[in-house]
Amino acid sequence: MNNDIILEVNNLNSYYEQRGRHGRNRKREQVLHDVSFSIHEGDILGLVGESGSGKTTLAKVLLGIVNDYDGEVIHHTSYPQMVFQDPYSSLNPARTVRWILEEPLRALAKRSKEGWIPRTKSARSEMVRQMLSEVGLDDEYLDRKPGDLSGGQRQRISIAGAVITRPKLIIADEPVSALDVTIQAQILELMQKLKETYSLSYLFISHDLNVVYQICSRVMVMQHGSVVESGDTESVYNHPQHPYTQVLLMDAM
Amino acid sequence: MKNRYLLTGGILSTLVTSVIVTGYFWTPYSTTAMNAREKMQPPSLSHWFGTDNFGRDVFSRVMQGAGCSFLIAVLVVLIGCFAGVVIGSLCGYFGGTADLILMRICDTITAFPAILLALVIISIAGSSVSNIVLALGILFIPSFARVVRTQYAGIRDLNYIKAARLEGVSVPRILYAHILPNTLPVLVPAMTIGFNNAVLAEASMSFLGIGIQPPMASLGSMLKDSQNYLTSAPWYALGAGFSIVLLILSFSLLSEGIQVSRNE
Repeated sequence: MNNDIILEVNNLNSYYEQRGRHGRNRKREQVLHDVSFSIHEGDILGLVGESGSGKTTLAKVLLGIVNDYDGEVIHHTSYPQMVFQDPYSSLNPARTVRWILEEPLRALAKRSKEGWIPRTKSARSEMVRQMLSEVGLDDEYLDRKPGDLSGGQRQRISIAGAVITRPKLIIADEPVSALDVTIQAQILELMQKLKETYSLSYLFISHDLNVVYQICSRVMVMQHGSVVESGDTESVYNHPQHPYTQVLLMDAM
Repeated sequence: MKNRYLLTGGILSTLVTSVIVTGYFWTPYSTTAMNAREKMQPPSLSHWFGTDNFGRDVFSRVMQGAGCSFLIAVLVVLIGCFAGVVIGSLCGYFGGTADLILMRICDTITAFPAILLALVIISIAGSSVSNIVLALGILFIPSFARVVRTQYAGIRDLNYIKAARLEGVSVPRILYAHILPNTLPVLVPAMTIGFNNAVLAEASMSFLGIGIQPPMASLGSMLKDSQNYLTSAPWYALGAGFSIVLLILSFSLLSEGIQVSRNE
């Protein structure tokens, strides 16, 4: 019945520990309160809420960066990959595009035995070439460094780097909010296309409700670390139940 | 715009390096053979920098001495840089108590004048080329470690490093394949400054008599010997002093030029 669930989160509470100098004056604050949801294959789940509402903390828990939590986080597939907001700090400035895209494959080849992973230099190079063309960049970008690329091109590379390891789930933290509106549309379109090709699911974190409406199939609204409303994008946008959702939607109009 | 630093630095350092490399294999005159008849000759076509109190050709000795200083400085920088990168990268990336302790040790070492510490080490271990290299190399570790540590502490929290961790890249690979190339814009100038300091430190030690021992030539010991003949044979001191200046100047200009061209 649940075989198409790829991520399950049950009653998740997460904490943030403020550390004073040398470990004195510790304060443990709860950031997430009783969060439960699941992501099915093919979902694009939008996660909205103002800054400080716990969106990024949730992402960090799912990625295993934050370990101070209780409740259940069940990955039914391989670990998710991440696409960051700022395309300027998410690519290694000292390395070429080729190296940046080959590196996840090299790391994967070391810890996984799956058959599709390229294990020779030429096979890796071929896969990188193919991935690059799939995100809409041609071979001439292979030997460029991130410094030579525009924000949109960088975000394409970031997405390529996340998709190339064939995860089932990609967590995208504000992937388009640093980009121009025209570029935003191109990147969203690219993410849609890759979702079909690689049967991906996304957890799409954003504060921009218009962007979320464009791309997400379901949406989850967070306030002060709790999920206050969730459901199909259409029904949440047309019939918001929670007052906070109503305020957010009013502001976005 | 033309990069004049790179041009002059490139020409000078090529010149200096080729003279030094030649000096390892061939010098116009023997660097040790004494000749009473040719004592204290002023510069001439046959002796470009004149001769010293033993009738030895100053230019030949400068060639060999500069070669010696160059080799020592390069080795010192390599030791200091290698150990500094290892210590600095681990401290900067992991932080914590070990970082705190190691950095305080570095502070302690830098609090003493380097020459004084080198003097102590040499008087305990004895004066030989390998001991000089080792003593100076150890003393140069803190400056590299601190520079590298600052870089690593800043870069470790950037998204591309977080992404590498999520991809399951191993820690040594993150340290030396992901972060290290990004520290080069800071590390390379630190190495050229370190080279200059090492040349000066070796010269000072030889000047004080705890560095290169006679009859081997060293720029520092030549300066020391020439002190007594400043009025009767000023070319002796000038030859040695001028070579130290040229050696340092050429590599400083070169590194400055590389910096300027990177920023363009």
